[in-house]
Amino acid sequence: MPTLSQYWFQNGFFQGPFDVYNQPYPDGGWAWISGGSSAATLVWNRPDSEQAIDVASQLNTPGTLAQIDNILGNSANRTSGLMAAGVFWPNVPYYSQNPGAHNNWDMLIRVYFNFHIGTPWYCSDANGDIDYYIFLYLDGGGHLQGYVDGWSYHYDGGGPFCTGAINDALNNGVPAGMATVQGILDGALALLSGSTFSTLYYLPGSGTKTPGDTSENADTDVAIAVLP
Amino acid sequence: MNTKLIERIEALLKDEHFTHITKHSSTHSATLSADKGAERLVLHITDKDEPPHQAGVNPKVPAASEFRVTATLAGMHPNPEGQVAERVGQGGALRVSASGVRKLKRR
Repeated sequence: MPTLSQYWFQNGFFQGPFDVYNQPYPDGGWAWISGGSSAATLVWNRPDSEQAIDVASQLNTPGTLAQIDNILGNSANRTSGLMAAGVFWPNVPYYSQNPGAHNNWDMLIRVYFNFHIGTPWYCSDANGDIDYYIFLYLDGGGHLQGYVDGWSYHYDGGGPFCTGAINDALNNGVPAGMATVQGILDGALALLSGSTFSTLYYLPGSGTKTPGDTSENADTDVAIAVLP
Repeated sequence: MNTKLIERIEALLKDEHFTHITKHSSTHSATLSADKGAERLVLHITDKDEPPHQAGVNPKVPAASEFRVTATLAGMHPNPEGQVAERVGQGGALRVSASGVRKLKRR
């Protein structure tokens, strides 16, 4: 049974807290959803054949978290689980380095986590996030493929004298971690290697189809949706 | 970066009976700290401001010609200041044409 899903974003399109209302309806039938105030809204007509993959729940397994922790080594401590968000290409931090790499309306998946770095007594500790940007696509055979498009980090603290040492550690570890993240991605995509698809899109949050109202956060989860 | 000044001051601090002398260095900075009783000293030399953020592109990515379908909301105009669409009220349908290129059909 198809589902009409409407998303109401409190802060902006495809970001932050949102409410979703799912209304199933029979093939050839109709559905309506009314009400809701928001900064932006998205409506999606979701066929019964849709497969939605909740990215955050797929990532937060002990095995994956252990691999991510190896990226940091002894230089930093992970202080959150893995989070995922859909972002438009112009909102990716390295967009200005090669704006033509993607279309402005293409979406990437930002996979990220928070970290903490302790410092000597004369500096404040650093707290921030490490981010990897995943680009997914269907190839000529309709298979779901993906790669790590780039990386970024941002933190607060480390002043007044420790940002250099912190940056050295992160500049060594974070780009090198792309190989680890690619391995995790390859493992996940291998599970779908036997299937072919015609359409790929992202849904904010977990991609739930549970009928009725649900509140989630588009900054912490995104779902990959594919249609045969 | 020339850190000879750090080394000279380290020697001076030892002569002045400072203890817990530690040195931290990075690509663009060196920091020396020490203490003597309640006195604490920090010397920092840097040749570059280092912002607390960096971003980089993966140099090894597939050619765009391999992308038959991407996750997109064609026609969206995201605002670089935040993911706020500059246009409202648009709709679209995602289709794969016979040639395999995704196209937008306005309703």
